[in-house]
Amino acid sequence: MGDEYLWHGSGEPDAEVERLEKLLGRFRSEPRPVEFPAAATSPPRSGSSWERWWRVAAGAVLLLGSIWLLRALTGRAEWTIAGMEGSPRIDGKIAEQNDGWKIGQSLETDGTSRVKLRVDGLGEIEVGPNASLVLLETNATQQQIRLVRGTIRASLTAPPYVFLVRTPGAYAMDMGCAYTLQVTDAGVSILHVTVGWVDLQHGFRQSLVPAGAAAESRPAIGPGAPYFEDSSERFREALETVNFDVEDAKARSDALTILLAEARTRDAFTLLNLFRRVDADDRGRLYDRLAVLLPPPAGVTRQNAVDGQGLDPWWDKLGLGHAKKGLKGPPRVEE
Amino acid sequence: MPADHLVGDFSQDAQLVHAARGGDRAAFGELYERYGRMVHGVLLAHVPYAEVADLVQDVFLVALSHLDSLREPTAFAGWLLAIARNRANDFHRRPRAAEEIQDSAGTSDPDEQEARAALAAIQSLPETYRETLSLRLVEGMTGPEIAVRTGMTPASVRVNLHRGMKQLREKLGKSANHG
Repeated sequence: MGDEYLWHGSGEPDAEVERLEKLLGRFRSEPRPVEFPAAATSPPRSGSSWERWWRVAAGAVLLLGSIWLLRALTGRAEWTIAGMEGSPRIDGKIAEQNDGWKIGQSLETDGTSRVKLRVDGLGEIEVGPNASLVLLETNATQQQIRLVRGTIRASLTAPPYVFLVRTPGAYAMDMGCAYTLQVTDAGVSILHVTVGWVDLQHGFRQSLVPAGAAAESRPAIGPGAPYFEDSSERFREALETVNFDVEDAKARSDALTILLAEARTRDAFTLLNLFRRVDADDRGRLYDRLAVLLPPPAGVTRQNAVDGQGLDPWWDKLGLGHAKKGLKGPPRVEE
Repeated sequence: MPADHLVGDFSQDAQLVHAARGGDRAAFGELYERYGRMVHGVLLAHVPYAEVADLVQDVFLVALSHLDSLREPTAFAGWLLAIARNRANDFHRRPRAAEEIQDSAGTSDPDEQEARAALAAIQSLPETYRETLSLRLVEGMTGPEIAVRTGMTPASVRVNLHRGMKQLREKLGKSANHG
């Protein structure tokens, strides 16, 4: 029997799925009347270091955003070819210096072509040989492209989350940075960050990747846990299995054993990222190794780790600097 | 092509967000109708059942009070998910009495015990699987619905359901053998 019942909830039932539905239905959301206040006022917030940072970061981002928006509105958010080699094509026609690239148009390079694109207020994107991309959106608050294949190198000056690259495995969102992003013919994307941070997202999966680190994303799975590029080869090979060999629990468990043995203090960053990607037993193993590499801050317990919750103080202790234009703060999704 | 098929649905979200920002409470109520189940299912993947209803309310209150800070209204679903996960994370950070977090104590009903064991097994899975399975098995959402509501591609949801269910069967089989 396939997974059709699990997928659609109709057709010939899978007995175990049906039994679980009946058992677990008691926990289902019950519609209940809710009263929302008429005025949208901010609720009182606790004074944790995360939240204090977030208020400072939000203010700074707002300021940067306002400056950028002013520039974007007074200038023209147009993509133009600022430099080129060979014969790149826009919508099939050979492009020339200073040509514009419009929404919906494809841009392709062959094996001997390169292009440098520029947008006022955003920065520059260099497109390598054998690449294919499409411009999806360009306005004062959002620049969005799809990278179908090939490599781009981005050097960005826009505020966080203005520039977004869609790839088959993840959305890459700039957080004030420089990076290289490659999409292979198989749809695998590989990100290398040289300055700042990049936020990779795909559905429920998210990876925040700082300078000096890399991350791979795969179609239908999303971004894997990031790693520092100076980690050992065995560490990276094991991480690939833990990240993406989702069908084979034993292979993943064996790979995690290798990964934990190879991990250095600096690789605590990768281990912390893995808490969201492994099951409870393996979260306990991650905790035990992390506790040796980077003793847990006060209040972070093994039970926290097994639950996969409450690990933010450990992130702080990494001392990586922080996301969002270098402002002090956690790798945490904006509210 | 990831999530392109969702543009229409997310455009409706954007209209509702714009209206809610303008003080239209019915519009925000419509967003609650659309996403209440999703938020409930995601929270249930992380925190005890007894805490979920209050946290759902909390998530929507936070969303309402911060709607103006949402840069891209079409991204409402992902933003709401992030708030829900952050609230679940906050729940585990705050100190509380031990009995507050025990869902499993105090029942002699075998079905209830089995249901709680199944929920605990789901909560022990990797995040991607536990959230997707919670939405499917507890909230009764179909795979396509989960994709539309969460912004995941249907292919990703399908893979998560398949792999998550496989791991859940193994866990439940293991605990049955131990029991």
